[in-house]
Amino acid sequence: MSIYRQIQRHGFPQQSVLLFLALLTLYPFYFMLMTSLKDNEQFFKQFWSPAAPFHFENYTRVFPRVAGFIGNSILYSAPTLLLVCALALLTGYTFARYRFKGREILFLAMLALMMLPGVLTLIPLFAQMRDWAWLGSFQGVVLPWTSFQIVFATFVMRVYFEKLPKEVFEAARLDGAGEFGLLWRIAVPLALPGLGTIAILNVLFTWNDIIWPLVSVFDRDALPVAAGMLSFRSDYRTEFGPLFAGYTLASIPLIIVFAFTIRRFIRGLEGGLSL
Amino acid sequence: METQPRSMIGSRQNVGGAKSVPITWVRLAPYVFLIPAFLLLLALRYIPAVSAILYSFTDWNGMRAPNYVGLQNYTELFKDRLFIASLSNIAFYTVSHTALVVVMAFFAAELVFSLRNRMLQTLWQIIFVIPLVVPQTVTFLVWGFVFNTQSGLLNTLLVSLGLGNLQQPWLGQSNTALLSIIFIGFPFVSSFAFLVYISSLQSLPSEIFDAAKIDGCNTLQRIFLVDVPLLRGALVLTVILLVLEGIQLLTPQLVLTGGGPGTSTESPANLLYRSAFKYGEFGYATAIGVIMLLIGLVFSYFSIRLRYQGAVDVNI
Repeated sequence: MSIYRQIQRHGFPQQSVLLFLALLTLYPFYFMLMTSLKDNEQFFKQFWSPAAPFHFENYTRVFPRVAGFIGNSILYSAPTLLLVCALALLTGYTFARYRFKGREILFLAMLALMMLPGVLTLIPLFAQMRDWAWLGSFQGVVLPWTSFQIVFATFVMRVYFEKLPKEVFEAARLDGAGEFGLLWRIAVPLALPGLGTIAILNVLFTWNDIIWPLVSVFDRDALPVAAGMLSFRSDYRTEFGPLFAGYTLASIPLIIVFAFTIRRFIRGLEGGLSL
Repeated sequence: METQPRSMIGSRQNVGGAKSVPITWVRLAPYVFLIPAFLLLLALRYIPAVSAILYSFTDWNGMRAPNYVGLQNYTELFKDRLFIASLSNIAFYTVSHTALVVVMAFFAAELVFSLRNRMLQTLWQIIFVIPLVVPQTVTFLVWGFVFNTQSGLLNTLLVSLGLGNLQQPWLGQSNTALLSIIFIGFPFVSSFAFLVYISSLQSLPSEIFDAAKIDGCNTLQRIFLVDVPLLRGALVLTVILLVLEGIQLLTPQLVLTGGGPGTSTESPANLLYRSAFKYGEFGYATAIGVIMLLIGLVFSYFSIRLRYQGAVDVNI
């Protein structure tokens, strides 16, 4: 049955309300897209509707600048992502599957970090990074980002591993798998949907965080995209077409990532998260 | 830096050995697996957190060796008009924004859930996740444009509706700036909370809904008497996350208002950021951070306690 038929058959009133909410939610982004193809004259004359001819040169004009920021973001985000996934898998798996002395205390000690305002540690972290001469360096962004992210990621992975049937692990153990064998052959493959969820959360964070880069990266050309867009805005304040073209370009990479991963993301959340 | 964590791990091994059970690889494995994450957290989270608290009792400016000044930073803080204003702003922001997000996200999750068709549910989920993947800075910048005085969406809309006299410099005047920031992201459906609610609803066993139906529950009764109590874990989790996020609000200040006009959108995090990185008052700034930490801890403690009081859905 086609989606169209299903929409007709199920809950028409609910879906009308949802459609209304979706239009309100998406309108600012539609406006961004529409305006990104206008020049200033079209912008003031046809504010609410798309205007021909489309000015694709807005995009070519801002591309080098925005692409630079996107490149920086990938450079910082990809290693952070790998580290967070590896550490959260290991830690979440350990908390979920092992009974050991100090387990609850260590887990609480970790969760306590969730309550810790990021800005509180910002200042000593800044001083520490300065003393190590790590400010503005690659590891000076990646490692703090990782440390901010692994706590919640561990929480998600622990919940995830606890929901997996115990028998799988016990059977493997009876078959003579060692601790590393269990981890590598059983836990890692089974972790993929859960990892998908934390990967997306992590990418959302690293793609969005402006505070640490603004504090620690002094070279404007080395800024990741979210922080970079701030300096971008001040250059194009009065040219609405290129300004919105830049915003759109900055949004594209994540939308592409999202298009490929959304189902895994939603599946990883299956069963819900709760306290 | 290197020796301290190692010795900690050593002491953990001794805990296992103290009971004179032979130390086997199986018993050690969990500790070994936890080392990498805890090393990183120790260096970049625990040590900075503890030193932040210590620095808050000093006149540290980031360069000179800090001098102990007792509670001076704290007494000054509570005499600081800006800080008091930032606390009341953040209270207003956090309460209203959290309430709006939770109610709207829950409402939309119930609507989606009521469709009783997995494919459609996923479709609507995807639609509402799209805005989440637009970089937050861009979202704020675009919404800043919605509230723009000269050619912003809201003012242009008002003019074309013949309500031109209602035009406002939304972010540029004290009485509307904070409200405008609260309404960024309207209608608040597109949020992490929405995803958590819908996936929690989907995970409830269908027998519960059948039972409710047999007992003669109408939809509203079912939502308030069945769904809300069963989702209290998810609700409390999202409320805590939203409140902690609200207490630390800084992005709209950095992107849009800078805390102004006047003190109208000032937030503790913004004050901390400025004191430290503009004026070099590191000691004073960490004191602000400690107050934020205390507020967050007190709130989390009471909400978690509330969540487990008379809980029907978990065994403690």
